[in-house]
Amino acid sequence: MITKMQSRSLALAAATIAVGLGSQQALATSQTGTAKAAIVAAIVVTENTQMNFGFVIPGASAGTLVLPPTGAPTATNVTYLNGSVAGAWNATGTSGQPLVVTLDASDTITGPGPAMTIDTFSTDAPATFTSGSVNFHVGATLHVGTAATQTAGNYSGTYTVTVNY
Amino acid sequence: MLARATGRSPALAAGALALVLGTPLALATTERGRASATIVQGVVVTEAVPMSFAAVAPPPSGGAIVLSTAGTIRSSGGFVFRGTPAPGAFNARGLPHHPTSVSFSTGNLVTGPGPAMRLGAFTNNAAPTFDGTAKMDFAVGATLVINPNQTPGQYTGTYAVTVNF
Repeated sequence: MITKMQSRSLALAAATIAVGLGSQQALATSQTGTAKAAIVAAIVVTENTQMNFGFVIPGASAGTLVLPPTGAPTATNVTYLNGSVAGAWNATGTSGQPLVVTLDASDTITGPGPAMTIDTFSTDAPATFTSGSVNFHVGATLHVGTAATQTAGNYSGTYTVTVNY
Repeated sequence: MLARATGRSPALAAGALALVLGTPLALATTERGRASATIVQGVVVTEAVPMSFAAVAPPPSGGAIVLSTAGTIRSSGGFVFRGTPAPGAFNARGLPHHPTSVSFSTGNLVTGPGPAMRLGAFTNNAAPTFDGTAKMDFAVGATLVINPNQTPGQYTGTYAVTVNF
């Protein structure tokens, strides 16, 4: 007699637990769909190497030095000595998303003589984030005055790089 | 009950739109990079003093004689030297404090009434950088190889000095 009562109360307890679990699972299912839109990653842009046109000797007439994102610069009416390096950048974002680089139309670099314009910025950045971290380069065209006007010395300035999805 | 349901769903839709429109603006990242160039008003090298071994009386077997940047000559036995030898002296003008180095042509010959003599193994005492006023003056020594039974007479030749910027 005592033995029979104990076994029945155990059966009731087990049934209560089963109902409690079942009702929680049913409520959770109705909320699953809203989570997808919240997944986003902020883009971080970092300058790894400063753009440098190197050492340039002006000519009798005004000239340019075209610094491509990769490869050697092209001189017109100036003599290029050495030391040029394209700007090197890194962008981190979400892999597979579009990668849109926006560069300035023109900037100036200043020094001991007349300011020099840098324009026609170019980049070798891919069109999409091929991975979560993408390296790319930025080149530009330097406009140099004549030997008579462009005073020797160091000239420097800044330009902006904007990365967007 | 119905009114509450429709009122809530436009609010959710607005939230989703705000995410889609807001995301590119919020995640676009702009960084300023640095660009620089150095204008050089030419690198000029001029010879101030021609190199001279002065008068040399070689032994019949010939041999190599070495002119130092200090203007002293040394050789193996049997040579007699007269007159005042001179190292080559050069003045270079570049950019203040900029690193530089000097290099020489090869295969240089000194010619005269007898067989040509080889001039090489150049030495120099150039500083590793231009000074604060963009100057770098230096002396050049060399080794002259005299052939056996070299015909007496005046011998002259040239060598090229390159100042690497």
